[in-house]
Amino acid sequence: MTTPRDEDALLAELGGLIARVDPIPAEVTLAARSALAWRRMDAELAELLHDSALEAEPLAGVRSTAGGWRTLTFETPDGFSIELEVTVERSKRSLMGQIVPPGPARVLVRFPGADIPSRADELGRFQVTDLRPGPISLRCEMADGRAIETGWVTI
Amino acid sequence: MRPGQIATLINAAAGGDQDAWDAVVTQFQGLVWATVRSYRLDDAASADVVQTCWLRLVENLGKLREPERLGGWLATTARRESLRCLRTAGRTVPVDDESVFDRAAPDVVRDLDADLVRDERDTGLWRAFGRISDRCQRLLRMLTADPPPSYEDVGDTLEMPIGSIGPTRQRCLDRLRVELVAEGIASA
Repeated sequence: MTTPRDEDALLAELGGLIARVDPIPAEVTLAARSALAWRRMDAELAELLHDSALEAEPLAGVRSTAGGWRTLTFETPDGFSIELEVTVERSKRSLMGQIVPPGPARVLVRFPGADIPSRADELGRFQVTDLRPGPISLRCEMADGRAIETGWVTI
Repeated sequence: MRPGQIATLINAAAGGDQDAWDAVVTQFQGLVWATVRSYRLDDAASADVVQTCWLRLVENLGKLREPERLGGWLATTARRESLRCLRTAGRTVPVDDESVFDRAAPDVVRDLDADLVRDERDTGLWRAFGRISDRCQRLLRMLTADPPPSYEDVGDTLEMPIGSIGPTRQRCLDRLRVELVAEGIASA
């Protein structure tokens, strides 16, 4: 019969082992601290409304395919939306976007540490290729001065 | 952390106070890391998912409904982002039963050389841990986070009633003990 004290000792031993074999990498801590610099100052937030990657729970036994795509929809409370199709090919990501209502815009793909500039055409369409995987947020600056930023997602 | 302290830190961080933000990171990064790693994402994906969680918190600083449950909010975000990542082709790791052990083991295989695993008991404990159910591994990893999460945070994340966490913890530790014995390692 084990006692609560035995249980605590085993859990503590396991905790010590995990801390040694799988510590939090220093760069992960540094990145976490630097995240505060990404506070939204002057833009409205378009929140993630839909993500095809969350439509179903992963099934045990499912293996990855070589490539794939994923659709995301972000929306502001007043209905301005950004639809995004993410194409996944090994370690490269490509984005095809549509701004609704359609219109030209300056688009920034924000990675922590770097912005990649792009433009949406008269129909609100934009495309960015050759991105590396990681967290991104899109910033759209419309012709009328309105700025919108999407929530962060890992692509 | 005392009740009220998290809300104070969050408010300060929302105003740009880096020290307050660092304190939030220190308090919860162990829990976030434990959650992400319990889905066995590789190093790069783990780092990306963790960073997404913090960025998500930054964008929500001003509108968290229950700051006192921040740990649960963060770990739930980490869990959902990990699942998304697993579902995104190109980064998915196989999750069939046979490879569970192999996937749980690479860190140890690598780290054995690095002298991070002290002895056979460590090796046996890690192997035993790799053989208990995913759900047990997740629970025990969360509970061993430093500092340990509250049962409220654990319950929020794993969608378990708080009252069942204690008994489940006991069952999982019993399972671990059985596997330890199977490894030929005497348990207390």
